[in-house]
Amino acid sequence: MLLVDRVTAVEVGAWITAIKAVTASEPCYREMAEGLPLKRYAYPISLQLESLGQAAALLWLGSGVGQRVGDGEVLLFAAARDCRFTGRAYPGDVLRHEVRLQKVTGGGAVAEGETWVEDRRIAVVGSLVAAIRPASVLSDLRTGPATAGQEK
Amino acid sequence: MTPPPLSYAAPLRAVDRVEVTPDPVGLRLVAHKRIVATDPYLQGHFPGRPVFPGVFVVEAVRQAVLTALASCDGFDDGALPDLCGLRSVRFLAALRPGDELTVEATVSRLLDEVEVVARCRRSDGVEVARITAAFGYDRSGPSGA
Repeated sequence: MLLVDRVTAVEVGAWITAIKAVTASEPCYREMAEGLPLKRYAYPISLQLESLGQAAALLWLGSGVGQRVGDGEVLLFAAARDCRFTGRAYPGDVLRHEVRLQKVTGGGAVAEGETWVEDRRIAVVGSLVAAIRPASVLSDLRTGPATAGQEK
Repeated sequence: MTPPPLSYAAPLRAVDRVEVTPDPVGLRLVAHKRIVATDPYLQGHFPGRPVFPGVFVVEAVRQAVLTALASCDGFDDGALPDLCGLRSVRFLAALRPGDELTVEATVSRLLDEVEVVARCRRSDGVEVARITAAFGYDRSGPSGA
């Protein structure tokens, strides 16, 4: 599920610009009824957010020594806050994610960013948290100790 | 039986069924989705260890809300409300093929948006996500449309 086409600019450890083209042949458009208005072809926000999250992951993983996903580990989308989706992308548009690292810890990273289509800003992500987890955790009932017990 | 075609773009069918009931603040919905290994995108996420992507839990909430609003409101054709904000999303535990996701949410009007507060659980009772989202009408349609 790779939702980034290309990194177009990066300052290692600081920010990244990455793009993803939205095309009419994508799986998300395959099961739609005939004759729907164009507005129904808005690119799903879930995929758009995942695409931005993958740009954040690339920024973090390229940041330097120690930022890697080892054997037996996976990088998971852990949390996000204050996301606003004020516009939409359509087939033929190119998503441009501009993402900045806010914080890096031993087990993950926090980023913020925006998504643009040309000069239209269509999304703002206040914060997005990605976390490394041992893959074995995926067989267990709960995620690892870093998130267990955090009550809201 | 082939499911009916969708009236909006979607990465997958993220809900199997939705139950909608009135609630003091608006609507309450309960949606169910069985995670299957053949769901789109699962094979690469991750190779050998399929995990239902967290954003698809968001997608499940989205599809449950769209289904609930369509059954209770009259819309103009083309004026489908959709996700316009995620105030808070936390993914707490993994969902894997064979699990069943249950989304319980309250849906209420807040000014010109719809606020959704969702708790998502796995078939063994473990909470997998908490999502607070806003839905609204996109006023910035494709140019020329």
